[in-house]
Amino acid sequence: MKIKNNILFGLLFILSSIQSFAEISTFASNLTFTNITSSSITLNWTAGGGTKRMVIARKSALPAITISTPTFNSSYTANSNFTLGESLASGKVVYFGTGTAVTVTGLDASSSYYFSIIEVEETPYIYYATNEVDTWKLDGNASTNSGSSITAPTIISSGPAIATVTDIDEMSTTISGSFANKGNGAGRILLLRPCNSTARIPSDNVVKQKYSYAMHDSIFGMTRDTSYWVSNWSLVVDFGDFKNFSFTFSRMPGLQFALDVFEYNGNVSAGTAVYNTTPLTFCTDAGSSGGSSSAPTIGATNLNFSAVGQNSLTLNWVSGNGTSRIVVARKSSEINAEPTNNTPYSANSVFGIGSNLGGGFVVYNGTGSSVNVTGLDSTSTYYFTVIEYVIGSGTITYASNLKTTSSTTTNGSSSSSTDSDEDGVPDEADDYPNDAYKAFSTGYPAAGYGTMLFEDLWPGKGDYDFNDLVLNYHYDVVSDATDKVVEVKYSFVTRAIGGSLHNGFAFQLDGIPASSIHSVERLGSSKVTGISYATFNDNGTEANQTNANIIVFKDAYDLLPHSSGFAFINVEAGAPNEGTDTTQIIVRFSSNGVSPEGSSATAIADFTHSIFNPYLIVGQDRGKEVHKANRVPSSLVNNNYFGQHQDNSNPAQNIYYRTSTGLPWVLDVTESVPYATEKTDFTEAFLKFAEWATSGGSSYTDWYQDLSNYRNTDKIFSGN
Amino acid sequence: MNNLKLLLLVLLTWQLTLTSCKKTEIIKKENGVSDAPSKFTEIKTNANFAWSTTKKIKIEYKPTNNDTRVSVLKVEDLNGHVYLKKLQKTSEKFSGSIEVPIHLKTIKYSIAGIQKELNANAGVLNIEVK
Repeated sequence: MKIKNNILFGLLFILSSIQSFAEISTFASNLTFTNITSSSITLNWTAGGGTKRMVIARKSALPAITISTPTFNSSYTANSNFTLGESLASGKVVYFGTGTAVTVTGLDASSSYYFSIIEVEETPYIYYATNEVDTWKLDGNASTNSGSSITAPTIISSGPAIATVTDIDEMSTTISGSFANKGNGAGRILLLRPCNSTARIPSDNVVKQKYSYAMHDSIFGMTRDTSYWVSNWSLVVDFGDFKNFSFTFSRMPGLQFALDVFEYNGNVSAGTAVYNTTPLTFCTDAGSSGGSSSAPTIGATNLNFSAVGQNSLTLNWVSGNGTSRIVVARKSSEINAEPTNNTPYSANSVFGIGSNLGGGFVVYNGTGSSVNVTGLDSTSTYYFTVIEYVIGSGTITYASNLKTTSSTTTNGSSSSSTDSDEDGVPDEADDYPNDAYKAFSTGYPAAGYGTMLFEDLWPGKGDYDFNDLVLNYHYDVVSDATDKVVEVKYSFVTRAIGGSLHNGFAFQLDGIPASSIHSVERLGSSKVTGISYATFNDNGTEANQTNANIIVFKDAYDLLPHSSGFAFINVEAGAPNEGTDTTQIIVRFSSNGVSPEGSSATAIADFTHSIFNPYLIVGQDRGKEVHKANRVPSSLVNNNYFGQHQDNSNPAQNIYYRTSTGLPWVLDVTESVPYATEKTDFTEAFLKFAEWATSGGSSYTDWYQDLSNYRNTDKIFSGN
Repeated sequence: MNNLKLLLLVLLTWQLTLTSCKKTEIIKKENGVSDAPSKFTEIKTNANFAWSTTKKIKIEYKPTNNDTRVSVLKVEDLNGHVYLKKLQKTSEKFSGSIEVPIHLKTIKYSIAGIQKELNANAGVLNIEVK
């Protein structure tokens, strides 16, 4: 009887488990992320079979969901502000309800957040789907953006700087001082630390408060508030648009402090400041109340000018025996006043921006012996005065009596350099000095070649060795003096064929009508001779296309020799190096300044890299194109392929060439990189690739470079 | 009754197997083993991820009124790799964009004798003569 009861109890337990699972027969799906800002992300999803659902968010990693987390029959408090939600599974509960969307706020900028959605039943007990199996949930992740509306300042504050320590009483002291030049930020933060410690860089978008001596105990006590600190021993003593500072601190006789000034834009106390990470750093004196210092006894000499142009020149000098010196420039006459002792002056090498002194502007302040001054008027005489000075203990002493002055006149427009083709671009800046219809050539990539790596089994997924076709590419955009694209010179280097399909290769210029192309010139022998799957317009672009499409070659197997005994070319370990093949094509937009009739010229501002849309034509089937993720196919694609096998394209939503988990069929690397050997999973050859991809592109952004532990050379083809 | 016992035994064995798998996974994570997928097919990304190794920087040239100069605007990195080169009238506005390697930290521009280095992560390169 006892055994019978146990069996019955077991059966009831199993049946109750099956019953609870049956109540949530489907889980949330179709998680999407929209309205992404630097501090918030909106999630939308399709509800599952629960009466409610919980969303847990976690920074940098998936919430640590287990069968017991969340806990059966326990309730949690949700808050869409990430910082306020109840902690759970190493994350925060940001939603609990019946809906299908939530906007999560309070997020850090430039950070990855992972979300798990769990269906919930509340009757008769609170039951989470993951209480059954911990993977019965919907996961997703997204990254906040950098808050690009606020960017870091580009010019930091600069010296000379002084900081004097003056005792108030036995317990406290005043540290006051100034520095010469503000940077170009909205303000700057001043951090105090011991001189023998390392400067701590403040993090962007973190709320900080100013230390005050009155709060001394609470800040330094066990429960100190980290908002007053950047890190241990780096105390926030001031911020704002200041150049002079003064604050009270604990008296520490003999101890010298360092002060770090970080330039920022935004608002420190609101937590929206973005910092330049290079500080101006200087130390306080050892605690005296200041004093005078001796003036320099030798002034600067041998002032001379070089590289004198219409609007700039370089002033050189031999320094005197000051610790530093200022240079003051004035147009038409010498300065008419001297610098004031103990006053730092802001310098800027662009004339007209530095401190005003004696009718001129300070263009240099430092320890060097030359300055390149810009922003000058042409055909104008400028006077430059160099004044040595010495920084003492809280003092600045100028040797005005030893100042040295010299003058020169900038060039006039008539002395500008030669412009042989008279297109308005001087020969030294003109890449085509004897062609009035061409002026500049700009390459992509800016240096060397980029690499495209293809999988060719689309719409089915392949083996992800990304070597079915490997080719390098580079192109130069040639423009004229009026910013119009004249021609583009393309170069494609076919390196490897790791698939049996006979694939062609082409590219589309998105948004550029085929009719706006003047001509397509193929250098050397044509690689499309005998092509059966395409016809061409008179201008050389492919016929029946809306955008300009250029077929580079009809079949990669026509380009490289194929040794017997090997299935493919340049991919199998131990295979002979069959070399590479280069295809060069010039796409002309105009000839001698004339665009095709009825079409307007293309501006270089509209000809960005994003219009270059390369693709495979798989197995000589014209309608079977394989593009990079989310790139639009050409007009001749066979739409029936979309959504087949593992392809999860949705043309209605402009989603193309991605699997349901977002995987692509093409990788495009901005440098020439090696590639994986045949049948090698790409992640086994490039060891940081997976972490880069799963981080949404925020980690290991240099994954393709040849850095330590980034590549497994045993898995990379070494032939070319 | 024997069939019922057998059914229970099979179900209990199945449940124990699942628990064992989960414990292995938890131990792996607690020991700091990377969570990065070991196979390409295990990678999951959101629909917005572009798989791009470059980033776009907007170029905004702010004109200077009553300045009649014309000079070459050049945007390059610290290795001298040029991303944009054009003739620029100082008094005319220009907006464009360039594509640079995503890990590039510093970019510089030169125009009218002025050179400046800027943060390449800023997203926008604001250029002006003064």
